[in-house]
Amino acid sequence: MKDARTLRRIVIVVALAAAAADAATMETPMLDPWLPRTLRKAAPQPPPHGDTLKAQVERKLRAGFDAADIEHAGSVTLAQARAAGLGYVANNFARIDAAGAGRVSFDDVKRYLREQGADL
Amino acid sequence: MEAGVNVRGHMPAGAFVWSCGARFHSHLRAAVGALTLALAAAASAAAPNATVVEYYRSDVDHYFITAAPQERALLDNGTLKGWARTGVTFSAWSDAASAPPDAQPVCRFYGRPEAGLDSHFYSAFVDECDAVKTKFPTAWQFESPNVFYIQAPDRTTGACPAATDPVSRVYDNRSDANHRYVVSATLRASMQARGWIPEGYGPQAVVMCAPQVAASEPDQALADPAFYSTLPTASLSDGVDAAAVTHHTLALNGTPIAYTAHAGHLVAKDPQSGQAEASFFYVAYTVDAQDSATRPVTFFYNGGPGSASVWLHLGSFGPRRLATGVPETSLPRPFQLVDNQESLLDTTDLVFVDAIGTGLSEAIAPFTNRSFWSVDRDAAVFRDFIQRYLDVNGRMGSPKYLFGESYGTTRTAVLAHLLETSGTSLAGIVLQSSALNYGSNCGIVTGALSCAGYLPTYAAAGAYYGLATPPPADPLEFLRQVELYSVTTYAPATTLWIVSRTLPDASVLDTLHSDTGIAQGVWQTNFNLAPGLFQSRLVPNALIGRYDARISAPVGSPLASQGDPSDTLVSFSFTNAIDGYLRNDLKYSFATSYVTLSNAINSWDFSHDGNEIPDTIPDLAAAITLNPRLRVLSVNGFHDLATPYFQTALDLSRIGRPDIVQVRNYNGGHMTYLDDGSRPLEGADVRALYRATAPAP
Repeated sequence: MKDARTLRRIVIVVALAAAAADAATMETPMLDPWLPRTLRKAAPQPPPHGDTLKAQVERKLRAGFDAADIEHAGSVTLAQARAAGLGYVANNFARIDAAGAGRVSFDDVKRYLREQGADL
Repeated sequence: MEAGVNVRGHMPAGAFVWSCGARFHSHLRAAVGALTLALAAAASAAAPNATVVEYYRSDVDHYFITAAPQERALLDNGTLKGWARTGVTFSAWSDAASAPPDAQPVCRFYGRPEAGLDSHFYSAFVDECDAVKTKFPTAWQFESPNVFYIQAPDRTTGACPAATDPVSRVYDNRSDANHRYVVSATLRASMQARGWIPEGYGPQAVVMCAPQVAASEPDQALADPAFYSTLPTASLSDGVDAAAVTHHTLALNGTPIAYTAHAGHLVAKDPQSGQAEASFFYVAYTVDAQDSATRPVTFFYNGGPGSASVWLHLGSFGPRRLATGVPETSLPRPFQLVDNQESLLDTTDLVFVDAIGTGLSEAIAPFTNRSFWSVDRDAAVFRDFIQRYLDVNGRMGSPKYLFGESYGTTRTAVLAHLLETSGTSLAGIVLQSSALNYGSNCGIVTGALSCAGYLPTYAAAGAYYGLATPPPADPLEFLRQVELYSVTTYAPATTLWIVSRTLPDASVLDTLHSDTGIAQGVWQTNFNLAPGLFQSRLVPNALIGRYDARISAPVGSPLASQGDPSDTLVSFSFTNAIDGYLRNDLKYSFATSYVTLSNAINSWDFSHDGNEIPDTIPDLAAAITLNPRLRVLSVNGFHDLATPYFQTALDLSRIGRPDIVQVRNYNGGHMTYLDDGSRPLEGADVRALYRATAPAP
């Protein structure tokens, strides 16, 4: 009886030592890309492509432009574009402001981007 | 390009071969030997402002040097075909005004192809220039009296002034009279061993003396006392810009490239308010004496989110890499760091940067690491780091590139849109193993999403283990057919299965079995087969890797014990190597540990653009809209069960611009660059992207 118990204790100690050694040398598996369980559900509709994607791109650009238009004037000044971090507008302001009005609208920006070769 | 300057393609010598190549130089030496030039002894303080870059054309075995950015652009972008940089450069001055008083103008002659030459000759001695003009008015066309300015050696001893390196001239001893100008004695010796003849002054055959630049600066070690934490709530009280600076040389194809490494921190600041946001840990490799207007700079980062950038840093195209032998599993571990013969240092400066809350990067109060653990805030703070880096290092004018992997591609798409919006234009993007749309990957999103995008990956893995029947004679053609089958047959069938659990007829199951090696019975119960199940079902009693399906291990074995043998095979070596590399090679010592993987993924805010999980294709499309010159190279591994290559192609096809977005796939897993066969192929495709996007002259 006694011998058997001792033997079992030795087995347990060895097993624990092995587990500790494993834990020390093991890495958490790197899971990239991965999502927490609660987010792993499929989107209800297919993602945008073609004209729908183009429309989404335009919405994204317009959202950035509208954020710079703090007066809701439908156009921004050079200072407003710069203050909002719209460098692509501020750095090319003179070319976008073809009329020399001192303000540019989102349509002006679109025209400028098309001139640069954008599919917009 | 100015009139009279030629870098022409080779024309084979015709019936008339000018045969005086060998004699030309001895005549020249005799003609000018009596003349002497006083050398100003004083070393000048004027910093060199030009880089003489060497090119090589293998089909004619010709070398060519130029300091003119316009010529370099034509050579780099392939307008002048067949030329590649050798990596050899030396410094000089662009004009007399910036050069010190003792610098000499270097004249250039073009040996006419009609004379069997088609090669250039340079001299820093006015009398030599005059002698060539007089003696060879027909064969050698005088192109310029001063392509650059450089100091000259003593004509008796070949000795150079202080703080300059001797440049020797060697001559190919052939009728085409090509010359090479070499800075290193080793290189001169190896050219001599090839039969080239040294010709210059003194025992070292010196013809010019190139001003020394960074290489003469001492290394600056840094012992960083800060305590860095990757916990969600952690932040630094303030950030300091400080880096260890070390000087190194990498021999690429036998040619030494001198580069400087910076390892340390740089503070990202809010572009509007200037408020400090976070202290980024980065390692930058910059090749010495390059022209910042044309020299590209590339930012590399891994993903996770929560992963440090150690995988790209020590595995892909940095100056040193871990030799893993993947997909073999037989190399002793940990793997060893070796010089990287595919390093992109010949093409671009490299900046490896760790996301906030990974590696040694941390938020600055009042922000915490978690402030930047969202798709949008992470990309914004990367934008602010990149702009700060460009600003501090005078690189705003350099061609700029992003190279992200996995979640790093998610970041790249959002970041590219933010950078273009802010007015910082990118030249190019490399997407390594893309996760651009989380909603298209059935390995991350489970349940009602088709796994059809994985079928070609399953077929590639099955074929690797010899389980596809019949064994494909042409693996690429086989995969093309499986891709087609996936779109036309398997995808609609999985949609039907998801909705109604209806199976297609048995012939579809037979085809799926013969293409992948997965038994019909498995398809019957798991028709929309997810990659996790595929990992355990392909090879009997074995688990195959998620990151690289070519790596398998018996169930119950140590390699299989963590769920991905391909990850377990390599991850410890990377964690192990980065610590000593930073401390010993880069002389950056630190008090805390470099965290290769934090738990950021568990509290990450994945929402973006009104969706719960990110679809960043619209961001990439927006970046292309703002900058139509932007070019994108997408690379994937055929055997990657984390980001399937065919799904990446489908995702990118939504943009509908194959002229802008190029897709390339190689043998290999998530980290294609670990494969010794694929790394050179990927490197060649990446270099082609840089050539295609080189700045216009």
